[in-house]
Amino acid sequence: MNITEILVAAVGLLLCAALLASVLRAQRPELAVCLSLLAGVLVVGLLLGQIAPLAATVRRMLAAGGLTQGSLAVVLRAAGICLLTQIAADTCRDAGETALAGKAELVGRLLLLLLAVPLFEDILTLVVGVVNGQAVTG
Amino acid sequence: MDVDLIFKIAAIGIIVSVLNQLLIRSGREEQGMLLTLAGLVVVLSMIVMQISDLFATVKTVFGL
Repeated sequence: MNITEILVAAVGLLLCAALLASVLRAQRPELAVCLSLLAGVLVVGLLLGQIAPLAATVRRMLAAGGLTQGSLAVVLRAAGICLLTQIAADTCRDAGETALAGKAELVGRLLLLLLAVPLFEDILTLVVGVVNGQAVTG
Repeated sequence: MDVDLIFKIAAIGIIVSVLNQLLIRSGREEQGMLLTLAGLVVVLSMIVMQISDLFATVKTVFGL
């Protein structure tokens, strides 16, 4: 599947889904939400199926930049968490539940923070090491 | 790609709303509500498989 085919498939699917959802919304709002959720899931699945070359390129660039494999795993996991919580928050907002959408975003933020704590600790130990070294030499 | 699923859900929605109107006009509101619930359950059971597929894909791609 080349880029044009992916573009046409995604745009067509999304437009069809938007039209059908707007038809359904007047009568059955819950089914309209289901429809838009399904369309979003299908499009993201379509994109993720084609993303393998991009992931390999990102891995190579990060390796060239001197990042370790652990940092790369953290970055990729953060991207995955953002994707899933964004889908959940958007669906909640479509269903008219703004508060639940806020909770989904809160979950995403807290999980990202949890994910980043080891990196913060690494930076902290680095800073402490540098400061102690300066204190010893100065 | 299961584009058919989107059309299936739209068709289910239209059929359910028509039948619901019919039931309400003939004075059977409870059965109309049950019909709505049944349609929602059918659609959800169709969606859940796709969402689980998405979760599996995200897990493999992003290493969650």
